[in-house]
Amino acid sequence: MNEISLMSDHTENDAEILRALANGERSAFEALYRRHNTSMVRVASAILRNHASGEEVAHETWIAVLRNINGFEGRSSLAGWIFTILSNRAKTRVKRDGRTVALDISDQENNADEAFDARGSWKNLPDLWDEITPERVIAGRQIMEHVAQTIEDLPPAQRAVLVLRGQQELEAQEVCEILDITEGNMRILLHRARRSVRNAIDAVAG
Amino acid sequence: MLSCRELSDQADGFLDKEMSFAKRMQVRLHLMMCSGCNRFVNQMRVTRSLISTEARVEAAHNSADDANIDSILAEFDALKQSSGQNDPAAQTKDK
Repeated sequence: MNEISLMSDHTENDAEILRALANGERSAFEALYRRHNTSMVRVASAILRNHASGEEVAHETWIAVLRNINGFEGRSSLAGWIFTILSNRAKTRVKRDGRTVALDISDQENNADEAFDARGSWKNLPDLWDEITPERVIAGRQIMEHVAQTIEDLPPAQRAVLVLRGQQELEAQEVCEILDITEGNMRILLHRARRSVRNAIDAVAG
Repeated sequence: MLSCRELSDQADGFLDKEMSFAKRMQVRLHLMMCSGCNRFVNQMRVTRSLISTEARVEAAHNSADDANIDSILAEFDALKQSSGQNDPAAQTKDK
């Protein structure tokens, strides 16, 4: 299997993966793990504000998924179900530690305004980015590593929304329920996160 | 008419096709006349594609995965043998 295709067409593969998991096939679990684990650690870390705790909660979540896979009834996406378990466990741990669960949605706005003059027009035309295509970027890895680092450095609420909506491609309503945020706030956070990544790419692409 | 700043704030909604017909026409009209915003919207299109691709690349290159997968499956097997029951703490029905 092409390694990049691991995450492709995953919604169609849910039923197939569930069947294989029920049969105890290691390859099915491995595919599911590789598809979601990095994102799970990112989301759990965003809720917990701690990377090591995020890894522990992701590990616990996988055990819970395996133990309860027969209880998955297909009314949400498999990814939505997994991330719901993950966020519940992360929130339980935050409460246990006596901290506030709610994600801070007042994360700082990026400095978009600096790009415009007083009339709201571009001070300098954005670059063409002719050299940037996914194929070239994967081959070179440099920009992709920059994108990865930018995502890691995003404020927690932006990072969680970007991972769930922009990478795992969950439905907007699922993302809001998992993170306990309104749809309006989700859109603002997603826009800020994408804009930060755009600015980071622009800084190295110019 | 939309300013470039306003258009840049609405680029995500435009690319997600999550705006009214009238608003979409305003954006299209602006894009017909503004090369800067055309470039910006294209940059946002590329950015979204790279964000999505990054998750796949990250998933394919995580060298710690094999050991973690072994550890999870071993723990699961041990739990299965010791209890043979579902984990009541993780009863999360999909909605």
